[in-house]
Amino acid sequence: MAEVPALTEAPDTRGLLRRAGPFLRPHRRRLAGALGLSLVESAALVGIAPAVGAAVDALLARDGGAFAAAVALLAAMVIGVAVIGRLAATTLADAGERIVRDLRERVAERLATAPLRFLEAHRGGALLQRATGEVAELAMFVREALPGLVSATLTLGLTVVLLLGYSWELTLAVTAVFLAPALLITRWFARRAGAVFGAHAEAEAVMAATFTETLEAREDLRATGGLPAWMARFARDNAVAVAAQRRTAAVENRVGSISLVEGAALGLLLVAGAWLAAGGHMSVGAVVVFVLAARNLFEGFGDLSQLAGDVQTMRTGLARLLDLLTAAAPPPRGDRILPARGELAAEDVVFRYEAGEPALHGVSVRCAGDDHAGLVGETGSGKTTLSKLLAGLYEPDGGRVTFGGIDLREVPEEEVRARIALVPQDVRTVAGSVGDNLALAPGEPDRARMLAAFEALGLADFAAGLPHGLDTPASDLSGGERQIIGLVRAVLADPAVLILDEATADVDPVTARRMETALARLRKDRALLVIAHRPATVELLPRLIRLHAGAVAGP
Amino acid sequence: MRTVPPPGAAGPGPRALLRRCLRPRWRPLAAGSAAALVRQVALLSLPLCAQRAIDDGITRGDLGVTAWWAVAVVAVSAVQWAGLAGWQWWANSADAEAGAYLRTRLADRLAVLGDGDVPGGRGDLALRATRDTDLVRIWVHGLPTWVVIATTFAFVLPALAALDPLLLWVTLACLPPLVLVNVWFPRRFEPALDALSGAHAARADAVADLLAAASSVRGLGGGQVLVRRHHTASAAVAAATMRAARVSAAWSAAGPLIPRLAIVAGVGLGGPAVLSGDLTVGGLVAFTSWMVTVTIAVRVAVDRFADRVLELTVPSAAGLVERDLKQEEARHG
Repeated sequence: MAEVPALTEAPDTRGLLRRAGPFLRPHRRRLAGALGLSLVESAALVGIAPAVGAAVDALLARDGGAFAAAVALLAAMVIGVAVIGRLAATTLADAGERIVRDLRERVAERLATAPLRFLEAHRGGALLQRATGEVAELAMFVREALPGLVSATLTLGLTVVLLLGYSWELTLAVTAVFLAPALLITRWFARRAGAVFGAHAEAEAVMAATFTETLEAREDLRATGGLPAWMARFARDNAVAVAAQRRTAAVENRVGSISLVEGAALGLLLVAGAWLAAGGHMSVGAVVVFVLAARNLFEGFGDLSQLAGDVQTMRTGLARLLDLLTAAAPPPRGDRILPARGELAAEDVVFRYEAGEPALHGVSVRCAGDDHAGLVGETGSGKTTLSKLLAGLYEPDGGRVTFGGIDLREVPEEEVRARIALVPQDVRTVAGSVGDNLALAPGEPDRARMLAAFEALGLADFAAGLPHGLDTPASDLSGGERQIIGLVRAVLADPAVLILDEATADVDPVTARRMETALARLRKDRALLVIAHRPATVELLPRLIRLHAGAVAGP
Repeated sequence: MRTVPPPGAAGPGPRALLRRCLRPRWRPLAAGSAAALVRQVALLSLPLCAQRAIDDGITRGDLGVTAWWAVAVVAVSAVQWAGLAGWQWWANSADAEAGAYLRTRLADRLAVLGDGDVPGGRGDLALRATRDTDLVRIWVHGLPTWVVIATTFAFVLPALAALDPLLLWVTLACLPPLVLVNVWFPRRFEPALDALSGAHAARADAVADLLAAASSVRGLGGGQVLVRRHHTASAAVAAATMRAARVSAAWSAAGPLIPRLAIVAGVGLGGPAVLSGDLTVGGLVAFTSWMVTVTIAVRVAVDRFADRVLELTVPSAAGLVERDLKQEEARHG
C-alpha cells in the first residue's frame, strides 16, 4: 500500500522559525520596520525611570532648572511612548497579519490539491479545526499578543543596558539575583510546557472534531439509537480537555514563582544601593532609577512569562499548521501534456486501502476515445475505486493509468481534470445558490451557459421550475436534484472522458434516462464510462466491463 | 435560505446563558478572586516598603533600617506569590469548566435537530464551538481581574491622600479622561470585532466547502474556484483584522498615556512639596510606583472592557445558536 501521509497530533516545535522562514521572508522589510518602531517605543519607556531619577537628584541638590528640564524630558518620553507605541503596534499587526494570511491561503490551496486518500484518511473536523480554529488563534496572537511580546522583550534588554550605564556592580548583583533564577524558572516551565500545551491543543482539537462529527452524524445516531452513547463520548472528550487545561495551569504557575525572586532582587538592590550611596559611589537619584527600572525589569520579565503561554500555544498551532502543509502536499507530478483525445487505460492496476488484501489486483481495462461502456459488478467489487483511479483521483499502488499512452502521474493535475471528469453518486453542494455551485465548473461559466447546459440535458423545465431559478439556495435541493447539478457541471466541464459513478441513482428513472441519452448524444467523440445498478441505465450501454472481487470478470 | 442574525441583534438570551454558565462555578471564581485580592494587596505594599527603605534608610545612610525593610520586601513577595498561584489555578478551573458546559449545551441542542433546522453553515457552527466558546472562556478567566482592578484603586487612593493631598488630586484628575477612553473606544471596537467575527465565519465556511466538496467538485476540476472563493474570504479577514488592530493599537496607547501624564504632573507638582518638606523623596518614588501599578490596572481594565464588549458580541454567538434553535424547535413543535 502506498503510504498515506498522516497528521501528527503534537508535532515537533523545534526549528519552527526556520520552517516558517518561507512565510516570513517576503515580509522581512515590514517586520524590520515594525521592530525598529518598537525599539524606539521601548527606549522611550525605559527612559522614564532616569528622567524621574534626574528629577530626584535635582530636588536633593535644590536645582530648580535641572528639575524643570528633567520633568520636560519625562513628559517627552511619556508622549513618545504613546505616539510611537500606537504606530509600532499597528505596523507589527499588519506585518503579522500578512504572514498569517499567506499561511491560511497556502493551507486552503493544499487542502484543494491534497491527495484524496489523505482527505479520506482524516477526520473532517480535525482538518477543519487546523485550517480555521488554529488559524484564527494565530491571527489573534498576532493582533493582540505579538505587539506586547516584542515591546516587553525590547524593554527588558534596554533596561539592562540602562542600568549598566549607572552601576555595573549593582546591575550584575541584580542580574545574578533576579535574571539567573528567573531564567532557570523559565526553563523549568519550558521543560514541561511543550508536552502539556501540546496535549491541551490535542484535547481541544479532538473536542472540535467530536463536535463537528456530532453535527454530521446526528440524524443517523438518532435513527439508530446511538445518540446517548455518542453524547457520553462527547462528555468524556470534554472531561479530558478540562483536565488538560488544569495541567497547563499547574505548569504556568511555575512561572509565578518568579515574583519571589523579584522580592529577593529588590531587597538586595535596596541594601546594596544604601551601601553604595552611604559610600558616596552612587547618588540617591541613581538608587531611585534602579528601584524604578528594576520594576521595568521585573514587569518585562513578567509580561514575557505571561505571554509564554500564548507563545507556546502559538508555536503549537503554527507547528500543527506547518505539519498540515507538509502532510497534505500532493505527490510530485510530471509536466507532460495530454492529447485532446485518447484512450483511457488501466494497466495491471493494483490498489490497497490498508495493508493486506488489495481492493483491486491486476485490473486492466481500456476505454477508447469514443467508447461508451458500463462498469458493473456486485457491491464491494471495486467499481468506485477503479473509477477514482481512472479519473486520476487515486494513484495506483501497482500498474499504471494512462491517457493517450501517458501515465497520469506524469501530468499536472489540472491537465488531468481538463480531460477526465468524474461525477460521483454523492454530489455535495457548497454554500450559496444553484448558480454559485454551477460556477464551480472549469472556466466559471456565465448564466447563459448554465441554462444552455440544462437545455442540452433536456432539463430546461427543471431549471425553469426552481423556485428562484439559478438563485435557489443549493441547500434546498434534494439528493436527486444535487445529482442533476453534478451532471450539468459535467456538461459545462465538457471533458474528453466522462465517468459517472451511480450519478443518476437518486434521480427518477424517466429523468435519468433522458439525461443519460442526452449525455451520450451530446458528444459522440467523448468516452463515457458509467457505473450503475439500474438495469435501464445499463441496457443503454453498448459494452459492459464486469468486476468481481477486485478483478475483471469479463466483458 | 436561513441566515444567522447579526450578533448585534442578540436579546437577553446571551446574558442569561452567561449567568447559567457562571452560577455552578462560583466556588473556583470566589477562590480565584480572594487569591487575586491577597496578591494585589501584597503587590501594592511593596512600594510602601521601598519608600520607608529610601526615606528612613538610604537617604539617612542607615544600613540596618534599610536591611529591615529589605526583609519585609521579601516576606511580602512570598505572600504575593502564593496569591498569584491560587488566582491562576482557580481562574483556569473556572474557564475550563465553563467551556465544557457551553460545548455540551451546544451539542445537546444541535443533536436533536434535523439538517434543515440548523442555522448557519457547518464551518460557522464549528467556529462557535471552538473560537466563540474560547472567547467566553477568556472572559470567565478574566473575571477575578476585576477584583485586582478594584483593589488597586481602593488601596492606592487612600495611600496617596496620606502622602500628599496634591498627589491624590492629580490621580483623581486622570480618572475622567480614563472613563472617556473606556467609553469612546468600545464603541469603535465593537463593530470592528463584529466584522472580524463575521469575516472569520465566512472564511470557515469556505474551508468547510473545500473539504466537503473534495471528491465531487475535484472530480470536475472545480477546486481552484473554491480556492479563489476562499482567498476572497481571506482578504476580507485581513481587512477586518487590520481595522480591529488599528482601533486596538489606539486604545492600548491612549489607556496608559493618562496615568503616565499623571506621573509627569505628580513629579512636577510634587517637587516643590519635597523642597518645602511636605513630601519625602521616598513618597515621590512610591507615588511613581503606584501610578505605574495604576497604569497596569488601567491597561488591564482596558482589556477587561474589551472583554465586556466581547460579552455583548462574540460570545453571544453561542447564545444566538441557542435562540435560533429555540425558534426552530417552536416552529417544528
